[in-house]
Amino acid sequence: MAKSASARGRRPRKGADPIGRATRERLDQLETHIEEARGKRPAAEPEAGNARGAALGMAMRLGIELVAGTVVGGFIGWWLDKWLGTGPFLLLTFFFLGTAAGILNVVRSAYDIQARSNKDTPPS
Amino acid sequence: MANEVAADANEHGSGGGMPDPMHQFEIKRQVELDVFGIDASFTNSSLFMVIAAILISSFLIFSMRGRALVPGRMQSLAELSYEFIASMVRDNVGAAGQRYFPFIFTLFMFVLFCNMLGMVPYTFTVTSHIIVTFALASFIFLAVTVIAFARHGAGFLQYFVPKGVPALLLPLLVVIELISYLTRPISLSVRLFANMMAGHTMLKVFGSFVVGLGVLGGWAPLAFMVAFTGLEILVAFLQAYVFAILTCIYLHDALHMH
Repeated sequence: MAKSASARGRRPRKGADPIGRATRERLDQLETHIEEARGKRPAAEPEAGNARGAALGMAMRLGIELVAGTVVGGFIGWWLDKWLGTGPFLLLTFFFLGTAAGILNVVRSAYDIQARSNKDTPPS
Repeated sequence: MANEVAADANEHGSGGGMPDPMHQFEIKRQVELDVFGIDASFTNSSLFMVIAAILISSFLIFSMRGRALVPGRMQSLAELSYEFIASMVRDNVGAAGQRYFPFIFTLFMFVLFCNMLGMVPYTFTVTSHIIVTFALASFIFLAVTVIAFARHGAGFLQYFVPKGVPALLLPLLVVIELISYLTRPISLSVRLFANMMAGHTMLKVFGSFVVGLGVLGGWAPLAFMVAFTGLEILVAFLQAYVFAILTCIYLHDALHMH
């Protein structure tokens, strides 16, 4: 956050300076103060709570994926059966295909979540 | 008429019976409107959608009015929500996704405000109806598919053909991939709707326990309700977050095809 602010502040602008030199100097001073204060404090982990919430959100994805696969597969089979008049065979086939698709989705989401959590953890 | 009386009794929870926990989800017509045989009435659902839209617009417009260099409380809130979604789009979609930022930001804010509005007593939770979430999800699904075909042409069909698979298994796997793609709007909409409806029903049921058990026994469910309300606020935020991030992931698949 502080870095991007300083980058924005120091970017050379064309035309009139909208902030003014004095204000900018004061801002730079403030920034060095903030940096100093930050250096004194032990590095906290503000991301911990956030990461926990994100993990819960990711976990909520999994259960629905499995059900949705089965339901969509069953629906496609039922609809094709009605259209082609082929007894319950397509319903059964697509029910199992849909379950397979659901499991595939769950595995993919799990991989995705794992990749995400690995990316978030800083290299030790 | 008898129905109305019964519904009225249910609403106030009087008459000794348990109040109906599903009563809160009832759609009521505020302004009757009939467009060529299609019932397009302005309902309580539409009313809360409009309220959410007005709240979002006024929140963003009025908080950014000062355009202070050092943001105040409201302005940092607006900037925070902007940065939150901007980094989500950057991380999950990449540079090519920046042009879809306005859509994802609007989507996130709308779902978030609808969810949060539902947490206020006496309001209606728009996202607890599957037709609303399904309309949102199927629009996303169609838009993402159109974007994918516009970008890759017929080459997008390769997305459904997994690589390094024996030719014998290929037809089976293509069908499974296709079904897996088609489940997206269902899982996206059911997740949001089910979470919101289950939470609100649960709150209502435990609320009736508090009233039913009275001054002596009502404290235990009341304590549970306080904790559960906190959890529901977290869920309201998380579901909006999950909705937005999954849209980002689908968009990523459409743009980069893997």
